[in-house]
This record gives sequence, structure tokens and C-alpha cells, in this order.
Amino acid sequence: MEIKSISEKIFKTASKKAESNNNAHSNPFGVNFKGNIISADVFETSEKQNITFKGAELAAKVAAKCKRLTNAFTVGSIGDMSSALKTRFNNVLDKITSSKIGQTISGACDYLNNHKAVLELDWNLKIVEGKAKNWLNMIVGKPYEGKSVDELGAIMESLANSRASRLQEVGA
Amino acid sequence: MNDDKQLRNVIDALGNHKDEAAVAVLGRIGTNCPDDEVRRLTAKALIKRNTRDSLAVVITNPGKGINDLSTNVAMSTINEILTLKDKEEVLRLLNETEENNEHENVRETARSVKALMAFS
Repeated sequence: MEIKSISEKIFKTASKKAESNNNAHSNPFGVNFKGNIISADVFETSEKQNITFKGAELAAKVAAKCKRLTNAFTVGSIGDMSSALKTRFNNVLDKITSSKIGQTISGACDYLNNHKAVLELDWNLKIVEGKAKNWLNMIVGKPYEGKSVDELGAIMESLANSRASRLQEVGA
Repeated sequence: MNDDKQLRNVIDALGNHKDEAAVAVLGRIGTNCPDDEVRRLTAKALIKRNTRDSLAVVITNPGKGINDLSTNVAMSTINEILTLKDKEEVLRLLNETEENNEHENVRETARSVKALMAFS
């Protein structure tokens, strides 16, 4: 993972412990640097956002959220991730994917995949339909459906003559 | 599929064809065929079609349909008339044939078929 330009705000320290004012910054994991609580802008507020956007935009925003989260833990000066941090990080990711937004994205992907199959089936069905009609006519003994009167007349005459000559040979 | 089955299918296909020209083809090829079976199947298909033109071929013509020289073919045609669900057109035609046809035996046959229909 690349380390993009790091905002100075990440390393902004506070002399006191994290204030209760969560609107300016939040630090749910209690990450500290040399004993000082880091006020990190990378962490999301707990305020609900009125999110109404379509798939691509939604996916970009989710990815941006994840990116900011992961970036916070790749800054070398913060140090190695402890197992507790890793667990908390994974919990946050799980929260996102199991959230309404994450489910909507995965649901949309599933819908598209299923719809694509249906679209292909519908398209192929028309090709198969013509063949199926012919097969059905053969099975139920109606192979002459759709032929013109002249064609049928010629076939009938030929068959009638063939039958007559066959009967003549047999001596009927 | 053997030839006899094919022949049956072709005659059925002509009998069910939307084009009215199918009646003329059946009348020309089928009812004039020296083979009894072909004439029998053709008459049956024309009765099943149940239009004025198709019924006229097997009712008003000497030597065809109910007037066929083969008893087997004639009886089969009469039987097919008796099994028709809608007998309105065939009754009308039989009445006209009984009154107006130039051939005596054709008039008599039509009268007989009418009597049979009354009893059935």
C-alpha cells in the first residue's frame, strides 16, 4: 500500500486526553504517539450521513473510506500494528461490508450477474424456439406445417404415385 | 417415417391449410386417385375442413366422397359427416343437392345422408 501525502494533522498531538467533542476529530481506537493521544482526521465521525448515490459513486466513496482507514495504519511513525489494532481494523471493515451500503453494493452485483444470465437466455431462446418448433412438428407427426399449398400438392402427388406403384408390385 | 404416414400427414396439412387453394389441390389429386385409401383420407380431410367449398367436393360430385364407387370410401365419408360438431353448412348443402343436383344418384345419396343425420 502506497503512502500518499500525509496530512500534518495526523500527527497533531493534544496535551490532554481526547476531548469529548467528537465533532472536530475522533479516535475510536485510542491511538497514541509517544504517550500523546492522536487527533486523527482519518477516522470517520459517528454522525449519520444522508447517502443517496448510485453504484459507481457509492463504490468510490466506500473505497475512499477504507483507504483513509488503511493509510492511518501504514504511517511508519505510528509503529507496528498490534494484534488488537488489527482486530479493531477488521471489525471496522466488517461493519462497512455488513452495513446497508455494503449489502447494497453486493446485492447490485448479484442482480447484474443474474440479470445478465436472463438476458442471454432470452436472446438465445428465440434462436432455440424456431428449432424447437421444427422438432415438435416432427415428433407429433406434423412435419409439413408452414409449407405452401403447391409444395404440399407436389409431395402428395409423389407419395400417392409411389404408393400406387408399391401396391401394384404387391398385387393388391 | 414411412410413406403411408407421410401421405396422411400431407393430406392433413392440406386439409388444415389456411389457403383455400388447398381444397382444389385435394379435389384434383386426392379424390381422383385410383387408390381407395388416398380417396378415403382426402374425403375425410375435406369434411373436417367444414367449409362450403370443401363439403361441395364430396357431396355434389358423382364418384367422389359420399358418392364414391367404393363402399368403404363412401361409408367412411358419411361417418365423418355424422361426427361433425357443426352440421349447419353440411345440412344446407345436402338440402340444395337433394333439390337441385343434375344427377339422380347424387340426389338420392344426399337424401339418405340427411335421413341418417336425423336419426343420429
